[in-house]
Amino acid sequence: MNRSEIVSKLKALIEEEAQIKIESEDQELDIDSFTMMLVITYVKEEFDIELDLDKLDFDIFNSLNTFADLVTEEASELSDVA
Amino acid sequence: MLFHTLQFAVFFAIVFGLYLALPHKWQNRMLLVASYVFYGAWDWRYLSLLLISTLVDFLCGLGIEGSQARRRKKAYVAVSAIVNLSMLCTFKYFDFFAANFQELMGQFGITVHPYFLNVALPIGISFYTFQTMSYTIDVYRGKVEATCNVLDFGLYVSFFPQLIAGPIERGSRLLPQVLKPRTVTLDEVLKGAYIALWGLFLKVVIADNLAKIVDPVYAPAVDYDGGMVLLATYAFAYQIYCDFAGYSFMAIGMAQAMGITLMENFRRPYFSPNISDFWRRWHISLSSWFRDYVFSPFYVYCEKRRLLARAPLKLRHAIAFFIALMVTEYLLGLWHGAGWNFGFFGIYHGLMIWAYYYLRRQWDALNVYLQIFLTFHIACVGWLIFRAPTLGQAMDMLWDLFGNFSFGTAHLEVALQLAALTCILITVQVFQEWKKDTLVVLSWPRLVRGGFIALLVCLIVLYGEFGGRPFIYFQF
Repeated sequence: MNRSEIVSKLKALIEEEAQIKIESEDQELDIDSFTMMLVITYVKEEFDIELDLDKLDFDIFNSLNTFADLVTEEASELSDVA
Repeated sequence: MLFHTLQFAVFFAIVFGLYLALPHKWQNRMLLVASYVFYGAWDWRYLSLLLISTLVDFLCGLGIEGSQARRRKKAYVAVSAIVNLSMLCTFKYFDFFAANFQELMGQFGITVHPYFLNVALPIGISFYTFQTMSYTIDVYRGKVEATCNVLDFGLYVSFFPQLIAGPIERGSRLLPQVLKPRTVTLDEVLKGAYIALWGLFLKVVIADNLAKIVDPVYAPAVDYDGGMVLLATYAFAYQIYCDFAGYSFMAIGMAQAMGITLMENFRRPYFSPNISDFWRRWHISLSSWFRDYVFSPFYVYCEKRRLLARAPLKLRHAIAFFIALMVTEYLLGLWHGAGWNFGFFGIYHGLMIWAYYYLRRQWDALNVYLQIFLTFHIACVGWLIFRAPTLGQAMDMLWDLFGNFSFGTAHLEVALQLAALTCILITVQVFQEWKKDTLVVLSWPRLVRGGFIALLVCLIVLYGEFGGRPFIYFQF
C-alpha cells in the first residue's frame, strides 16, 4: 500500500460522501463529524489500520494530505511492531 | 460581578492597570488573585470547589506524564473524570434525580423521603470542570505537556474573563499563552475594546430588551396564541444568542486586550445552511468538547462491537454514528440543566442532525437561502423546548403554533419591536458572513468604522438595560 493509493481512495470516499470536488491534496476540506467517522471506519476496513483516536484532531485533519500522513504513519508503526 | 456593571468596570480597570505595569510572572500571580476575587465575589464558599478541581487535575496531569504504563495513565484520567463529574452531578443533578425518584415511587404508591441538598448551583461549575478535564485528557493524548507550575495552571483554570461561562478553553490553546510572556500593543487593546463593546451592545441593548417580549409569553402556566408564541420564540432565539455570544465577546475582548487569544465561541449560527453546521457555529467550545471527548470515543466503541462486526461498512458506520450522536446530544442537552426539557432538547437536536444526514443529498440541493431559513426554524423549535418552563408547556406551545395561530395589531407591534432590536445585528452579520470575518467592521473605512462605534455607544447609553439582569448561561 503506497501513499498515492491511500490518497486516491480517501479522495473518492470523501468526494462521494461530502458531495464535493477535491482539486488538490492540500485543499482545505470542511469535514464534519459524519464524514470524519466514516473515514476512520473506512481506513480500518480498507487498510486494516486502526487510527489512534488520541492522534485524531478535528481541527488539524482538514486535507487529504493530513489524513494520508496519519494513515501512513500508523501503517509504518504497525510494520515496525511486526 | 456581572460584566455589564459599574462594579466590574472598576474591577477590570484596576486589574488592567496592574497588568500593564507588571512583568510576566507577576502578571500571572495578579491575574490568579484577581480571578479568585472575581469568583469569590459570587459566593466565597464555592472557591473550594474551584480549588479542588484545579489541584486534582494539576496532579493528575503530572501523574500521567510521570507514568509509563498506559493503564496507569488511564487511571489518572479516570480520577479526574470521577472527581469533576461527581462535583458537577452532586450540585447540579442530585436534587433533580431525588425529586424524580420520589415522584416515580409515588406512582407505585410508595412514599419515600429522599434527602435534598437544597444548594444553589455553584456558578461556572459546568464550565471549569469541563476545562480541567480536557486538560487531563489532552495530557494523556499527548496534545499538551503537563505543567509543573501550579500557580500558572491555576490561572489557566480560573482566568476570570472565561471562568463563569466560557469559552471552555483547551490546555493546548490557553496554557501556552499563560506560560509565556505576552505582548500588549495598542492595536490589540483597541481590537479587544471593540470586541468587548460589541458584546456589551448585544447583551444590554438587544438581549435584555428582547427579554421583555419573551418572559411574559414563556411564563409558567400562561396561554398565548400561536402568533405570539412564534414571535416570542424568534425573540428568544436572538435573546439567547445575544446574551451568550455577548458574554463570550466581552470575555474574548478583555482577554485580547491583555494579549491572550480565546477561542471563537459563536460564528453567526443563524446563517447555518443545516443543523449539523449550526452546532459547528453555536457554543463552539462546548460542542467541540463533546465531539472530541464523548462522541468520537463512543463512536469507536460502538463501531467495534461484535454485533456490528459483520455489517457492511456504511451500515456499520450509520448505526454507530446514530447511537453515538443520540447519546452525545442527550448529554449535551442535559449539561444545560437538570430538567427533562433539556434532555429532550438534546434528543430533538440529535434527531434533526440524523435526519439531515439521512436526507443530505435532497437538503443540499435546496436553495441555500431556503436551507438557512429552514435551519433557523429547526433551531427555533429547539429553543421553544429549551425555554419553556416544563416539557408539558413546551408541547402546548408547539400545539398553539399550528392549532391556535392568529396575527393582529398586537402581534405587529411586537414584530416591529423585534425587527428594531435585531436589525443592526443582522445587518452586521450579513457583512460578517459575506466576508467570513467576525471583525469585518474593523476593516471598514475609518469614518464609517468610527461612526458605527459611536452609534453602538449611543445605543448602549440610550437603550442599554443595566438593571443587573444575569446572563442566561450562568444558570448552567
